[in-house]
Amino acid sequence: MSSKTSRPARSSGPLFRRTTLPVLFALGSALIFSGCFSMATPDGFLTTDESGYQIKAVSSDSTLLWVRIFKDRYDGDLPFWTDALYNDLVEHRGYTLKEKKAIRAGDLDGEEMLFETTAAGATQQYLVSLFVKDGLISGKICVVEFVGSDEAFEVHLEAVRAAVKTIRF
Amino acid sequence: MDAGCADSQARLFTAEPAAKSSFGGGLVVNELFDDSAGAVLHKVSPPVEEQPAAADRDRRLIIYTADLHVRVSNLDDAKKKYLELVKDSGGFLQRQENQTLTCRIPAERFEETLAAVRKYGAVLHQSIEAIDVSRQYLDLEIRLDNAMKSRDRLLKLLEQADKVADLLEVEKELKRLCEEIERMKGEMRYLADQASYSTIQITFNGPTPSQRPQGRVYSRFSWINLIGVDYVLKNF
Repeated sequence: MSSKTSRPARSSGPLFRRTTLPVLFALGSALIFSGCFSMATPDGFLTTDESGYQIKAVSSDSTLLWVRIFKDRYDGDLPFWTDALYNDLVEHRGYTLKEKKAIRAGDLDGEEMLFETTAAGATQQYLVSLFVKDGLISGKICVVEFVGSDEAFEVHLEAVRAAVKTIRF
Repeated sequence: MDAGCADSQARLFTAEPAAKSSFGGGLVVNELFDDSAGAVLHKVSPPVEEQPAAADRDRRLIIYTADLHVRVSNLDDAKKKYLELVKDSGGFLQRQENQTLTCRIPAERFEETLAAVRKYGAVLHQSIEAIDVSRQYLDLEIRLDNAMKSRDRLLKLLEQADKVADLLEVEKELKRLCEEIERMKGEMRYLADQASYSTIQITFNGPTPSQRPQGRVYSRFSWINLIGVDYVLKNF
């Protein structure tokens, strides 16, 4: 793929438009959405998926950690998306907010919210961290979700919080 | 004659400052000796006049009570978790009515129990009350001491009495004193118990009707619909 893009365009004719432009666009998108996305795996977790736009990790006691990057076509800021997510989870899904606080990952400001809800017939603890970043074409929202039952969740909570501080995107 | 007043059947309590408690003026009542189920004697400290002012502050007997309303997402789980916490703290359930649980917790575990319960969900209401009963306890202690000295004097009089009329009169007074002594001991025991075990009343509230999902209302922001516990559990 790189040889195609590095080769000088012979002309600006139809062939160039049909092949090179889509490749450049795909490369650009890949750079935007995957270029600098990383997070340290928390202690006690095994990474099961680390593609360009998401990281999935699981602990031996089945708590789940999912980090995803979403395109923000509205270019909202962190307070807006935090409120939007809070409203949806609490007002429409019945989640109970237990804790909310500002966090940082490198030079990025973020928000962390800790909820409790009932899912799959059991009480689930749910930690969600949000980071918002301006992009070249559109903004990006990084969402970290950590789900687990009471005891297992408490065991891994601090390790997950420590890992969230290492997010770069 | 002096049944119910026997000093030899006394349960001795001492009260000392709660060294590990964050409630500086609180007292921990330690049971040191118990050789009967009979009369109870509480010994908090030496007489008042022998105590310096600083030590006086340390001998405070404080009754803590707390009333909390906590909104949780699952009532049954919250109640179960709370009762386990109470049991682990060395406390016990005193009363349960619907979603309201009243428990007694050892005073030194009062604050940490409250801190743990606050994490169960959103705290809607909280009130904490501390009642200082040190003076009341001390007063009872002095009155009890005086009553017991009077009783001892009456017992001596009883041995010396010759006439039946005198015997009856002394016995009558002894009976009254014994009842008074038992009443004061009971009151002191109650105060000590209230201070050594704090009372925490917790009312658990479930999600409000507006919070309860009645058919999912989807967000107009598509990424938010891909967030949440259900989505994670189904799509991880």
